[in-house]
Amino acid sequence: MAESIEQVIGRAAPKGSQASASAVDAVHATLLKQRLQIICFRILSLLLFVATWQIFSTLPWAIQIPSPLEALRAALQLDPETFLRDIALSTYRVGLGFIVAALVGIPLGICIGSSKLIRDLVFPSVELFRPIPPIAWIPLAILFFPKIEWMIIFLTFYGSFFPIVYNTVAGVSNIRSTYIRAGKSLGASEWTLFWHVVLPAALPTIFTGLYIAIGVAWLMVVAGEMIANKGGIGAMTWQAYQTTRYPRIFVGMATIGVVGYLSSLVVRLISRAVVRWEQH
Amino acid sequence: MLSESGVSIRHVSKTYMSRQGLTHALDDCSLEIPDRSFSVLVGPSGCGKTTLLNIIAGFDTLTVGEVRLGERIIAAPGSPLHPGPDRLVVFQQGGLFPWMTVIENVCYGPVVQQKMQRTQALEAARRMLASVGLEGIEQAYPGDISSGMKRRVEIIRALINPPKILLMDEPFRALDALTKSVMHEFLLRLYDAKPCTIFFITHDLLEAIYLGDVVSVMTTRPGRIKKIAHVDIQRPRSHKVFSSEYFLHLKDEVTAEVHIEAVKAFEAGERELA
Repeated sequence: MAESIEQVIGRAAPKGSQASASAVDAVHATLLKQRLQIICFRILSLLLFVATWQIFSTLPWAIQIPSPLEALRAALQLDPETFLRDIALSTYRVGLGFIVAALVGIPLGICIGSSKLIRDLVFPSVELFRPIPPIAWIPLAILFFPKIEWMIIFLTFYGSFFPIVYNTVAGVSNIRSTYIRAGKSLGASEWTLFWHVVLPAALPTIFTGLYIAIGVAWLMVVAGEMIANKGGIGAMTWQAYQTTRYPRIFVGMATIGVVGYLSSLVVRLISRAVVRWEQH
Repeated sequence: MLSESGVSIRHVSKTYMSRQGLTHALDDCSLEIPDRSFSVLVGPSGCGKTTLLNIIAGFDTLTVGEVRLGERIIAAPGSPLHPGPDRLVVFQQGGLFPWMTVIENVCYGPVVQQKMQRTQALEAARRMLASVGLEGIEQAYPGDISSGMKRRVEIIRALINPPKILLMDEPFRALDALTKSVMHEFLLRLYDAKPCTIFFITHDLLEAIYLGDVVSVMTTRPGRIKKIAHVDIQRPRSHKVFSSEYFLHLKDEVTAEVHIEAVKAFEAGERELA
């Protein structure tokens, strides 16, 4: 369904052949119908969600849980300036940690993936840290970093780091030997082989890592902000709970959901633009 | 007696460690691939055909013996691996780079070897693709063209360099019968137009006799050349040869030899090494 009408028609009627106008119309009509159907189902899914929420908020033991309408009212009462500042602050913390993790993680992953020596040197200690959930680092990070801001950014960095390193290692070490052999035969030196063959072959897997990493970075920023209470959407959500403005909790959660989704979308769009040869 | 682009394989043995223990892939294997000849090697699966091709290509080492390209030794025990554009491979699983367009793939060799400027190489690649009827797909990625087209582009990517010997490792194995016959025509016409040294591996006997000047049969592992059959069919060849008496006779003769080896391989519990 991700293909445009032109693509479908282009396949049905390649250049030079003459598809009748009625056939083209029929293809258009079918596509339109399919698209409308999908949109209807998606709207239905959202309505079902709101209905379920409504039901849960009316359960006798859940009087504290605001209804969808109350949440909407709370959203409209927010001061837009503070709200946007919180969003910007959280996005900045995610972005900085994520970018640093990519800048360190991708080269490290490439080194680990392509050199057995470095793999033996680095991987055992990396493996040691992996089973520790990033959230377990919070107490130590608070103790270590002189500024609470650094602690939050460290958390987003740390959360993104492992998915990026692991996927880069997988991408680099699982390249089909055929490509390496073809590159060497055709005359590529070690260095050009890296840029022309190893890196492009690993890119799709590297982007999978980035895509996972941005999600973990949002997880970490919310956890960090709830503890730190120094602005950001996580802090806003936690304050809503502490000051018993419960409908706001939903506003915070929904915002995290939307902004998190949008940042994943950005990564995916970049991936599509870079990995042009993969069919999406 | 050897000219520049003939390959001489002399008493080559290859032993390596695998999970099953010590494996003797090749044992005292000798074969002459004359200059500008179309040589085909047939044998049961896992008999060491690909190992031999990889040794010639410089992807794999040998334990005993030597391989010469012209007068130059390209493989000897203990010598480092030296793959190069004088021996190019068309791979069984396809070796086009999926991240490069068709035209980028084709001009990759000349550009990376700095034999041509980029614009020059693009022009040469375009001309070469057009000469074999592959215009219009220059900007496509390999993932967007048919498997038959991919094979043709890969052959052109090798020939543009040009290599002294073209090594083809069961290149048409994964293709359907119709595409395969189109590929046979394609390869034969290329060879008729400009004969180059070709070393072609297959286990399809019809393909072997139809394409080759010489068909060599390899024994089951450890691989050794068991029989060499000369194919005296005039070029250019066409489909008609399939029904000629000579063709059928030769086919029976080679089939008998290969069958014995296949049975041996089967009895030895050799598994298909796909």
